[in-house]
This record gives sequence, structure tokens and C-alpha cells, in this order.
Amino acid sequence: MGNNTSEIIVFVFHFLFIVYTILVILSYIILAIISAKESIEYVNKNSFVDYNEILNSNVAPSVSIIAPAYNESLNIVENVRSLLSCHYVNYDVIIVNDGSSDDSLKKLIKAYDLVKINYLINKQIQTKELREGVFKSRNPAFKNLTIIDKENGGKADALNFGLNVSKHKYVACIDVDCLLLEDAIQKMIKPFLEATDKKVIASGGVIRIANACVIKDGKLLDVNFPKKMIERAQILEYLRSFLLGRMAWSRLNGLLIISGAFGMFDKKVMIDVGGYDTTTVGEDMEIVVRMRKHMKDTNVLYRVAYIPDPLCWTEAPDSYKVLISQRNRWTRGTIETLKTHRDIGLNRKYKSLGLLSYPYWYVFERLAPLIEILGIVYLVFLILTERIKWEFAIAIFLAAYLFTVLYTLVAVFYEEFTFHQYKKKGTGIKLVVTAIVEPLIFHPFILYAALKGNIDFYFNKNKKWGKMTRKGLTKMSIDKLK
Amino acid sequence: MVRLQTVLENFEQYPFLIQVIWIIVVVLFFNIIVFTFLLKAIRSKLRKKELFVYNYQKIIETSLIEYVYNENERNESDTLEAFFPEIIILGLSNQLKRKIILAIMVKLKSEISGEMAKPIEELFLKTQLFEFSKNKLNSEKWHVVAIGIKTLTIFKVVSVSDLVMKHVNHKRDEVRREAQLYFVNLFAFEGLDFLNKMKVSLSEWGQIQLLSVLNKFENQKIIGVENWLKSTNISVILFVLKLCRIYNLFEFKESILTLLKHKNKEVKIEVINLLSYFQVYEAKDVLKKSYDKLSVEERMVFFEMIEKLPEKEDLPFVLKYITDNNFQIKVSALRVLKILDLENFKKIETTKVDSEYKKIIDFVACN
Repeated sequence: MGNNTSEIIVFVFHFLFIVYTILVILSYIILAIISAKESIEYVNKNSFVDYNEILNSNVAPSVSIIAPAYNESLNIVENVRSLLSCHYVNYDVIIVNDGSSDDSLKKLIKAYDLVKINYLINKQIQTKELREGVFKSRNPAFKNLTIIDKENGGKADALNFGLNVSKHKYVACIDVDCLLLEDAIQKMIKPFLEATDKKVIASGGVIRIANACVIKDGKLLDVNFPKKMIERAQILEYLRSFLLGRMAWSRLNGLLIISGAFGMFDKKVMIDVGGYDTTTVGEDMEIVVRMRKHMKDTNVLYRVAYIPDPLCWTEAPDSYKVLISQRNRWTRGTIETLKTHRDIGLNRKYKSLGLLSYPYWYVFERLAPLIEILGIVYLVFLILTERIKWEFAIAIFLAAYLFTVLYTLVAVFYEEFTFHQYKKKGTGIKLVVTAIVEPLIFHPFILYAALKGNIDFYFNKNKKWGKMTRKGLTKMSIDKLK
Repeated sequence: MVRLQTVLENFEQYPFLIQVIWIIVVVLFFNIIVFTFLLKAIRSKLRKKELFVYNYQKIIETSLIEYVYNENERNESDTLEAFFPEIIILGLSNQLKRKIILAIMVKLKSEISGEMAKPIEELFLKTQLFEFSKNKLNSEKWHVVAIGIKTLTIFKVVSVSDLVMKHVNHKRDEVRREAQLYFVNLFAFEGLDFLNKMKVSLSEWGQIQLLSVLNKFENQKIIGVENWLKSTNISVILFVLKLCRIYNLFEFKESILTLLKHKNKEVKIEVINLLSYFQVYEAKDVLKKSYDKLSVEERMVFFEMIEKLPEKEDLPFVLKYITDNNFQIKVSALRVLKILDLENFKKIETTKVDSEYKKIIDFVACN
């Protein structure tokens, strides 16, 4: 290869990296601006809302909370109690014990005085079979609770079983170990009921990190900023993602994902599209994309709503091993979904879904870690071939790094102006310090997990969920109190 | 100084692109510094504000309770300061304080009623609070208009009804809702007059709110139902059907029956449900005749109706659907068969059928 050719290759690489960097930065700035508009609108909209009417209304639509559980024996009784204490007039809770090998079912039977009942299930979606059966409580105080014990089939299969069992118009699919605030259902159902011109098919909630928070009897008592850097970094990551990213995409009606930890859906649309896909590890994203596609194909005007209130709190991984496993799965889920629905990409028929959301996700989410790795390899190549211009390399590194820090600080600002959850004195500086160090000590692990996710997707097809070890919110909270 | 000069000299020698990136680096760096200090200032301000609000709320609440209970000790000739608590009069000129005062007044007003609530209403009407709220109706910001209407509704200010009427067809659903709630809160069922002027849809959320307010009134005289049932606005029909159900407006049975031929699926489903609730048996004949033209959802609620109102005459019709492809229709048909012709049902129970169908039959037999 002649000198000229290699110079041309270097120039092309330079050019592509610069263009990509500019596009990433521009897209983030645009999303932040749109998000600011949407946040202001949301705050204004909710400055005079009265939820009391829906709390006492006998015409309020019915909702089923579906929570799949797999080996959740440690906290299942408390978690179910938390779900049963939602402030809503017309709802039931369906816990799907997905073939747990622990004593979850025994504990539930004892705690809620459950008895096996004869239940006719409309198998609109194919699922694994029942194991022990369907249980209801003899205690009228728990009349809204249904426990299903079925063969293990994974989270998506358990959710599908819940969909088959639910008799209500809307379903809230949540992780059983999440803590829902009492007003979560009222707030999540509001967009469905407000819709006049466009049908709302789903509403996504914000997921907040509960590590270090004080929780008692299924209620969030005190919000704390954790001590471990891995947990702190995830808090900032979630703020960026939920308050800047998803908020903006919601305004553009381009949300492609509703977090599996908490989302509410129109049950009929879910069933019409065949329920959750049991073959993917990214079932939460996949179903939203499929529902959107279905609405476009059937020519129904629709919207996916988003509620930025901190309504659902979950436990984030506190070890890098578990974090990498989680992010590996998220990466594979994204790739699988984008691959399954590749016909949407740049397809004018799907308008903003095909021309904006899909390409964005493909270029800035799916390809981002690969381009970042390629960038590192390219940097090493430049150093080894002594082609590197240090004044340029250092400047571009600093610009990218400082932009990341600034972007995180903007997310923190949004949080302060809207929900202001981390109120304690001294937390502000901790947030800033975390924002400064996060890109240097946390991001490399995320990049590694994404790379591993790509490798596993292409070369380790049998890999499924991976293990997510949890301490349990109640346990963490007790540790905190000690 | 010399070093800085060297840096600047070197900088000038860099290519333009590198110069630009370095400038961006410096700008970003200073932005981060500014943001850090700003964040500290904002957090500190928010904390102070929260503390102030907490303390001020307590003071105002105490003062307002005293004011409500000392009503007899005041004379009409007293000055505004003598008549109303001084701390409140002084607070009205400050936006935050005014907001807190109003919030406490609203809270107290919802906790007390009748004569006891009058001093609070008087305080609202005779001070600047009324003017502030009234002026909000002319604001360009939609949420300010909505808040204005809401406040005037809470204090039952009838005199602004013309101004509120202008917002009944506001482009924002939130403003429209507040305007509708104003009329219903102040004029009860007569306030539903706005339904005649509705050009846009009434959301389900809005309907729930209206029904909740109407629930408070004892005088349940509703005028206009006949017209509303003929409305071209689907949401108006759906709302009125809910009214008919809640207030048992059986006298409109004939008009409701005609809606079985309505083009809108949602309306038809609600009508079938309502007629089933009213136990209007003749609706079944109409639906049987048009069954083939019904959507799956309509057929399902129709079968629920037959389940609730079974008659011997339904048997031939029901028998046709005991093996329907739709699960719910099949279950409903079998249930009706069990009620109307147990012997025939038992015959089916003993015949050889596939396992899934057997499960349904066994379930219906036991329940």
C-alpha cells in the first residue's frame, strides 16, 4: 500500500469520526432542548391536576398489574404488599410465579391465605402450562390478588400468561422487586384517558434507583445518594436517559422503549400483536416497536406516552460483574429488536418511526459502542505508525469528555428544577464529582459490556438472560438503617 | 506571562480545526465551572425556599383558622387590614406568598363547609386574590388560564361565567376541562349546557371529573339528554350514556335503542352495555337481526347481555355459537345454554370433544 493510499485512508477515517462526533453532539443538544420544552410543559400541565376524582370514580377504567417472579422468595411477600397498596379504585394484581425453584409460592400461600381455584384461561397468547395452578386469597382484604404458578418460560412468557389471565382494559407490567409509589397507577393511566385525537397504546414510567434509600413496609421513606461509585454513576446515567433522552423522544412521539421495570399498556393492542416475544432478551423494547408498527400498518393514529415523575424505584447492580451482565443483555436486546424490525428503518411508510427513531437508535445506540471501540483501535494505530497529532488527539478527547460532563450536569439541572429528589445538603457536590469521574471510571465497563453483548449476539447465540443477583430493596433499606 | 505568550504563539500555528476544538474545550470547561456554582446556588435556594414555604404555610394556616373562627368580632366598617389578617394582606403582593395563601385557603375551603367557609370566600373576593385570578383568564399561557379558572371554580365566582365560557372550546384540553368543571361545579346539571356547544372531543379523564362533580349534587334534574344522544360529537354521546347509567335515566330507553344502529363501534358497545343494565329485553332482537354486521367486540358484549337476560327464545340463536371461534362468545353461549337447557348442556358434556373445549365445558359446568 503506497503512502498516498494510507494517507487517504487516514483522512477518510478522520473525516468519518469527526462527522460522527458532531452528529452525536448535535443530536444530544437537540434532545436536551426538546426535553426542556417537554419538561416545562409537563410541570405546567401537572401544576393544577387533581387526582381525587379518579380515585373515587366508579367509571375509572380497570387495570391489571402483572408482575412476573422468579426465585424472589426473599422479598416476595413485602413486594406484593407494596403492589396491593396502590391508590387506585379499580385494579388487581397478578403475580406470575414463573417456575421458581425456591419457596416463593409457599410463602405467598401462607402470607395471603391463598387457595387454589378453578380458573378458565383464555389462551390468546401461547405460553408454558400451569404448574400448581391459580390461587386466590380467602381473605377479602386481598381479593384483588391473583397468584399464578406456571412452568418456567422466562419473563416474557410469564407476562404473556398474565395478559391471558387479565380481564381488564389496561395492564401495568412491572418487575416484582420494584417499588411502586402509591399514586403510580393514577399517573400512568392519565395519558390513556386524556387522549382524544390519538390513541395512547402505552405509557412508560421513569425508573429511579433505590440503592441506599430508606424503604419500610413497601413505602419509600427517604431518598439517599448511595456511597458506591458504581451506584452513583448509574443514578446519573438514568437521569440522563430518562430526563433528557426519553423525555425528548416522547415529545417527538418516537419512544422505542418502555422500561420492562414499569410500563402500562392497552391490553387489546398487546394481544393483537401477539404479546411479548419470548425469543428475545429485549422483550420490553421489542413489544413497543411491534405495537407501533402494528398501529402504523392498521392506519390508526397513536401515541406512546411518557410520565417523568419518579414513580418506580428499583435496585441497581452494585457490582461490576452484575452490571456487565445486565448491560450485555440490554445490548443484545437492542440488536435483536433492531434486526427483527429492520424493515422499519428508513421506510417512509413508518414516518418518524422509520425515518427518525429507528435510524437514531441504530446509529447512536446500536453502533455507538462499536464506533467507540473502532476509535480506540484507530488511535492505537496512529500512535504505532507515529501519525498521531497529539494537539489534535488531546483536544478532541478533552472536548468529548467535557461535553459528557456538561451534558450530565444539564441532566442534574433538569432534575433539580423538576423533581428535586436528592435534597440533602452535600449531595450537590457529590453529583458534580460523580459527573466528572463517571466517564473515566464507569463508562469503560459499559463499553466493555456492550462489546461483550455484540460478541455474544454473534458468537454465543445460546446465551439468554444472565444472572441478576439482587439483595432486595427491603434488605438494603434495613442495612441502611443499621 | 511568558508561558502564556508561548502557548498563544503555538496556538496560532495550529490548523484552524484544532484551534476551533481547543476553543470548544475552553468554553466547555468554563461552562462546567459555571454550572457547578450555579447548581450549588440553585440547590441552596431550593432548600431555603422549601424551608420558607414550610414555615410560612404554618403561619398562614394558623392565621386563617383564627380568622375563620373570629368572624363575629369584625365590623363591616373595618379597614381591609383590620377586617382580614394583616399578615395575609401584606403577603398578597408577593407572588410566592400569594400562591401559598391561596393554596392554604383552598385546603381550608375543602375541609370546612357551609357558613364556616364564607369568611374564606369573602377574603378571596374582597382582596386582590379575586382580581389576580380573574386576570389569569386573559393570560397567553394556557396553564395560567387553567389555574385561574380552577381557582374561580373553587371560590364559586359566578360573575366570571361569560369569561370562562370563551374557553369551553380552547385549543388545550386542560383549559377546556377546567372551563367545563367550572360550569358543572357552579350550575350543577344545568352547567352541562356546554355540551351543546362542544366542537371538540370530551376526554375520558374529563368525563370522569365531570361525573365526580355531578355526584355531589342532590338536585338531579337533567335537561337535554335527548339532544345530546343525537349529538354529532361521539364523546358527548358516550358521556351522556354514562350519565344515563349512573342516574338510571330509563325514560330515554327509546332514544338509546335507536343508537344500536349508530355507526361508531364504541357507542354501540356502550349502548349494549347500558341496555343490558336497564334490562331492555327487546334490544336482543334488534342485535340478533344485525349480528352478522357486528364487530367481534360488539358480539362479545351482546353475548354478555344474553348471559344477563336469558330467555327461552334465545336458545336457537345461542346454540349456533357454542363452538364459535371466539373464546368469550363460546363460553358465554355455553353458560346461557346451561341456564336455559341444562339437559342439552349435559349432553354436550358427555360427547367427545377436544381437550381445550372440554376444559371450557367442565369450567362452565362447575361455575
